Amino acid sequence: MIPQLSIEERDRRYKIVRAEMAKRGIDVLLLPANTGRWEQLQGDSRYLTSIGGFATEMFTVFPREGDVTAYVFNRAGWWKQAQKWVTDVRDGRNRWSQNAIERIKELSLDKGTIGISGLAGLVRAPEGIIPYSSVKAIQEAFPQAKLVNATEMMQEIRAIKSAEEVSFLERSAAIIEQAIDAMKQTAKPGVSEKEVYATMLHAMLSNGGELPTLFFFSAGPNLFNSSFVPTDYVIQNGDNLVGEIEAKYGGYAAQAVSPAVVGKPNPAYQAMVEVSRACFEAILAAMKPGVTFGTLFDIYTRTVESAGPYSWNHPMMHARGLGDDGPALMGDKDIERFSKIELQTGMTFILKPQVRPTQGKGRASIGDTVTVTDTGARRLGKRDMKLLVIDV
Amino acid sequence: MAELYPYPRFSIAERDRRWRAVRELMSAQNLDVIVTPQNSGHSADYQANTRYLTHCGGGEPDIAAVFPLEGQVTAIATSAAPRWPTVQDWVSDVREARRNYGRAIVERLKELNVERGRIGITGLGEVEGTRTPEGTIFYGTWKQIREAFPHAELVDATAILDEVRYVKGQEEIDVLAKSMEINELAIQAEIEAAKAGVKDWEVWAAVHYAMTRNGSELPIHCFWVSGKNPKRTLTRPSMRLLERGDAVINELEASWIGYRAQAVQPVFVEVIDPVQAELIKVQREIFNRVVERLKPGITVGELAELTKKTAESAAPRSGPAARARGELNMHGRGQGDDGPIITPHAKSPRQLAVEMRANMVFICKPAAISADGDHICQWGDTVVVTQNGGRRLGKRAHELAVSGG
Repeated sequence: MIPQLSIEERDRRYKIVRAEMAKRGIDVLLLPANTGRWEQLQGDSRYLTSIGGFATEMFTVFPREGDVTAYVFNRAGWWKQAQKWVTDVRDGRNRWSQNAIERIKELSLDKGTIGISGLAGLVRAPEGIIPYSSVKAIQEAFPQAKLVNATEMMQEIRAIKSAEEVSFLERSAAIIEQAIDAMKQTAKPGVSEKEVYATMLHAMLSNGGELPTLFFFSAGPNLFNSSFVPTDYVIQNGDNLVGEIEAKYGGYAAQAVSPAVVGKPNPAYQAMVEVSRACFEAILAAMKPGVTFGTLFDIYTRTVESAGPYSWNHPMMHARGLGDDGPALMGDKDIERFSKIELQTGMTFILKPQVRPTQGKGRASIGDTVTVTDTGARRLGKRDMKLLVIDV
Repeated sequence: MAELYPYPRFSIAERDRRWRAVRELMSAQNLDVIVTPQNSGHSADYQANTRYLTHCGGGEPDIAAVFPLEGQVTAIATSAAPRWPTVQDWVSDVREARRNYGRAIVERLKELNVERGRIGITGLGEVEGTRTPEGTIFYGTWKQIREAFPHAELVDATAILDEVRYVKGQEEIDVLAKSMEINELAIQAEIEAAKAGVKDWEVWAAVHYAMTRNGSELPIHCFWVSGKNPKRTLTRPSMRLLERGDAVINELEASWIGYRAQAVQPVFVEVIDPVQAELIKVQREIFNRVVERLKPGITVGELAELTKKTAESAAPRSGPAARARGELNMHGRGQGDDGPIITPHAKSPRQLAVEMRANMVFICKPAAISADGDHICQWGDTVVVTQNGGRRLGKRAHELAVSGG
């Protein structure tokens, strides 16, 4: 009925998470429901239940020993038959603290250590995703329990993708490229930005894509930023088309950055895209297990600086997967944090090095989702990595 | 001021109407400021208060607002400068959060000198939201505010925004009518696409295509299911192939500047289920009687009773719809997570006593249910409460739709 990963994949995850819980002395994990930011913020909960998509809110209680319990708002019966990972699915009606309290009591963990993934420190939600009143109610219900932040633990585990996860990301990348093909067919002078956006979305959805998905797209003369919402702007000859395109398959989102020009490209812009592509290729060639993020960042900056009057800019790359994945190199602090961290097989990123002119305005980037293998790294997309020129 | 993108917008007069209404209630409750926290959950519904006050939103980014009783309103977002000054002209103080919303909220509250004041927070969790019984402010955001203002009183301001948002201004009603127009275009697309042998998923994709090409934003929050006599929608389509005699049931909500009206329209593949063909007559009668009575002052309890009695009188004595019963189902429509919500479960005296007011807007989707409970017929349109009774925002005929016939 819906795309599903195998039971073996579930067992692999449960084994790793439970081993980490044991190491950290965590008795039970709470994985909060929050479908914000295109459902990226609920990645942990979906990771351990396979339940989610289409803004389905789902709060998970994951004990170190015992049955996993998933609380959906009100369609537990359907979810029990729609997936095979979790048998204990309950209607929770978004009363998450009551849900957690109910299950923790059943598990007799009133005095245990309760890990909350999403208490604080998510990549894109450093203030967490669990409501204040939920935490307060859980604390009051279990005054002798210890609440700890398990966010980093889950991020580290999810950073390494299995072959099954990469196969879903590959499906996602293929759907994205169908959307890019739709853009090529539709974007002409006289067509609105909104129309192109709708056509690309249709290509995603009719090929199995899931909502919500992050998808920014804009058109305009000398345009470098994309908007969250498409406008009524009517495309003109010479316009740039910029965006970040994600399509979800079974919850997994790859990403592509595929700059395009309608008509004749501006040579300066085309040159910047070429520098970005050169950076992409240089970084991709260097990616393999054991190489540090710091090394990759050095390659990026050296390649930009040697290409001419250009400078680099964040972000260079960030992980892709079920949502809010790490590691993410999106700012100076991330470079400090991850510079000595080594790549591992299975890490998967959108690599989209950005290039700016040292003088004047503008920027460009081109990117694709790449995965680290035992012997190097490979692209998940198949399109030509170049500025797309749409003939008019 | 940044150049505004070609994008639909509310007027400055509408902004002033909202701000005045909220400030009147703040003043009455002695609040110095209201914080509407970032929380793009549930298709950005949980952040509707921020968008209501700042006009910043669309897509699913996290955005918070600080709304003082007096002084400049502040919107707080990530990638603030390139994103939001181009979308709206309501708020000029759009600040960068870099994902640390609590820090930016605290910074603005300090400027407002509310160290010993009363700080209202919507979604604090003490007052239940329509779909958020535990509130919407994240623990980490609350903690920063609490620690920065140990002597301030933190008050749940959910009810203030609920109260103001229950009753819509004319511009809001016009926007909801536009959303409804898009919903009905999507229904046409659904009828055209829902043919035997076509994947359910593709029909759903055609509906979304119709919505977005006609101007709907994302996220669109739709419910959907297809099959033989389906009773309850899901949040998603499936990969099954449609068959002759299937029904596709739905809740469609196109988003126009973030406002989502709703349409409920059963679509049958090639042939209508004969039981449903009879039940829709009862359902139509219930809908019409309820809409007729949607005037200021009528209570939820009275509408529920009217639904029950209309079903009793409209149901035939024999045939598949004999002794069919009726269930009332209505909930507010607007910027997101709107109330009040009226379901068959509304049985407490407090819920039953809720009174209709002029310019409240609801999806009205009562159900007619066969005596054996095996068939549920639901159809719905978004309606405005007026002095003369409810006014439908949709224009399509009140009937079951059939494709490919």
